[in-house]
Amino acid sequence: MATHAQPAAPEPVQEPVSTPWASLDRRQVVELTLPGVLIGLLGGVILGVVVAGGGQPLDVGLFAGLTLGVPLGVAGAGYEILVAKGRIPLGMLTPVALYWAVAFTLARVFQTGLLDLYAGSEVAVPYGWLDFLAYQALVSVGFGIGYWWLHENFAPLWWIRIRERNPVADHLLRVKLQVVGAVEARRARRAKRRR
Amino acid sequence: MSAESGVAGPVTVDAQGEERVWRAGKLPPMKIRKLPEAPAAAHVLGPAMILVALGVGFGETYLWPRLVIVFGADIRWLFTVGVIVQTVVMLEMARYAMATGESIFFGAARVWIPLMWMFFAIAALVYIWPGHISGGAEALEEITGISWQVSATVGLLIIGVMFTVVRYVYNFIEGLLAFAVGVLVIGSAIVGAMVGSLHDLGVTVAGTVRFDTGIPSEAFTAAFFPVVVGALAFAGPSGMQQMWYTLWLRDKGAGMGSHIPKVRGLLHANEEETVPEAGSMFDVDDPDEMRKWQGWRKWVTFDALVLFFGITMLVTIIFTVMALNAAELNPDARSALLEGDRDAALPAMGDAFEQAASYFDTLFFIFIAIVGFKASVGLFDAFARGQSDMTYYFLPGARRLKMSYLYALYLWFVIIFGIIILNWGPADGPTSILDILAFLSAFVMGAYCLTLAVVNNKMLPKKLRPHWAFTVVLVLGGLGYLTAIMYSVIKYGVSDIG
Repeated sequence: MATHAQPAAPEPVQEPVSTPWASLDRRQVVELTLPGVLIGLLGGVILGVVVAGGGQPLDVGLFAGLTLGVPLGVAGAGYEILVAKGRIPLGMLTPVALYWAVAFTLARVFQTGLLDLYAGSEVAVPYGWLDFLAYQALVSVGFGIGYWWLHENFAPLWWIRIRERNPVADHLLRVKLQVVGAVEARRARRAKRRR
Repeated sequence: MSAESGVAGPVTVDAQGEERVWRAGKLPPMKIRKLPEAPAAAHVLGPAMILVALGVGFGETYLWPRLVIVFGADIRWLFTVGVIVQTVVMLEMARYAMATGESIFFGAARVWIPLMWMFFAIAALVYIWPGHISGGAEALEEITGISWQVSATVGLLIIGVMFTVVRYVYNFIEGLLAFAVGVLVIGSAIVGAMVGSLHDLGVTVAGTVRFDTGIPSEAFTAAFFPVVVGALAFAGPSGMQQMWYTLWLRDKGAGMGSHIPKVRGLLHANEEETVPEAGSMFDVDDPDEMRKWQGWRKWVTFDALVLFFGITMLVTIIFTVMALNAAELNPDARSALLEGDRDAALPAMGDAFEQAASYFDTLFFIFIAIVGFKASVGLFDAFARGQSDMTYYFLPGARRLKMSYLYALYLWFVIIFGIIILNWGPADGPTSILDILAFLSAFVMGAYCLTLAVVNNKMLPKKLRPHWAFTVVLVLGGLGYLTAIMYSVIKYGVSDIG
């Protein structure tokens, strides 16, 4: 986020919190999932552009982009819903990395499974499925960090935009601000004790 | 000790006995001001993000994959050493900038003013040539066929207009590069997932942390020793990027930087507040101020370790996995790179990657193009920022202009000069001085390491000075850069380390 460093900066929530999730209608849920869906689709777009730009036929690029982008987009929506329900703490890197260790690996299994049906195992998984799964789980950490980075920088800007009509977005922003207050108070208490 | 001796002294009153100041060198003393609270969250991103965006570039996407194809992953320990030194440099640059609100150029001037002018001259000699954008534009031409002169000229004009119309230049560049870094990390992870294997990853990680493998004897040749030195210098931010980081920190409002006005785009330059004649210092005897200082150190350490060290390592590990995969599928690439002249290295790398997968060479050129344009955005801003900072404070009469006007002056000078050179001159600089420019860009890294060690140990209050181990890393790093480049020149007569 392009901000001047301020004391009133957000702090990750340590414990999951309850949110006004139950009051949302379908449209409100969909707009909450938008950041996660877009970041997931971005992954598919990057792959599609690279494959198509590399001289492969357009349909091959489209196939590669869609078979990865769609599952990543769905997983991104799932992440946003879990955050909105208070099941995943806001802003912390570790839960994001763990979530994507599973979700990214599953998305790659989905994509590679389709390729396996089309081109056979020798092309899809030349080193075998076990090697493939372990490797994807490790590489997923990179995707998790990238997802966290983009989410932390840009999702709050979207929440600010929809907070008037979406109580969960409003709640998530308030949680961030409340945590800042708690951290400031804790610091003040610590400083007082030292004196 | 007193200001008269030119060495830092204790907090005291100024000549009128009115205000407490910190005296460091013979330049104007720093007034004692309140240190603001550090951001409550460690993960509020700092300017390391810009350093990552600039630093993950030519070295990581080209020089290191090339070395790995030729020598194998075992040589990667050198990269680890380079990034560790750069991480320490970053933390120490931040120490001075956050404690004083001054750039490291100002800090160098507090030691000896000609030292600062040396950095000014090196920046002017090395960074006015539009080589980085022409490199990116040439890669774009490989993919799209668009003439590199056209795309580079348009790119330069877009950069100039962008930095002219925005209110706060820093906010704009941070937002833009935050998105670029996110895409780079996600893109690298996805491409890494498509290629490579558990074995490649294991070999890469082992090569990164095994320090007992040494340097292959083939590296000690006129063709490759300069490349090894260059790869070491290009691990993370190269040239003067770390020095400019202190200016971005100031505009971010980090530590005492909050007392200095931010640089504005030319259209908003008249809104600029009064710039103080020097930085400021906080009361290091006040426990509450020291508590806040620890908060800032924690913030910048997170920036250095997670963003800078972590992301740089992540991206380069993935690129190394790609390079290993390319070398495995195309064994001829290694001998071609070993035998080929250095001008042929870029196409040879493209060929190597193409053998690995049909889209690999395109991907390689896409990354080189992005790196070129991304570097231009950051480097033009940085160059204008650094030169205007030194001019404003140290060129007599320059303060009649606002800092933002000086910034715009340098920015448009370098852009117009760049357009002229791109279309009618040598993009990297005149051939006759190319070796000198390459030498200077490595030399400056050694010079700033040693300067930083002196500045932080002489110009800061004792309580804020670095741990001796950090000083040792700075001194050894500085001597290492200088020795390597000198050895390259004396033994092999080569200073072009690209």
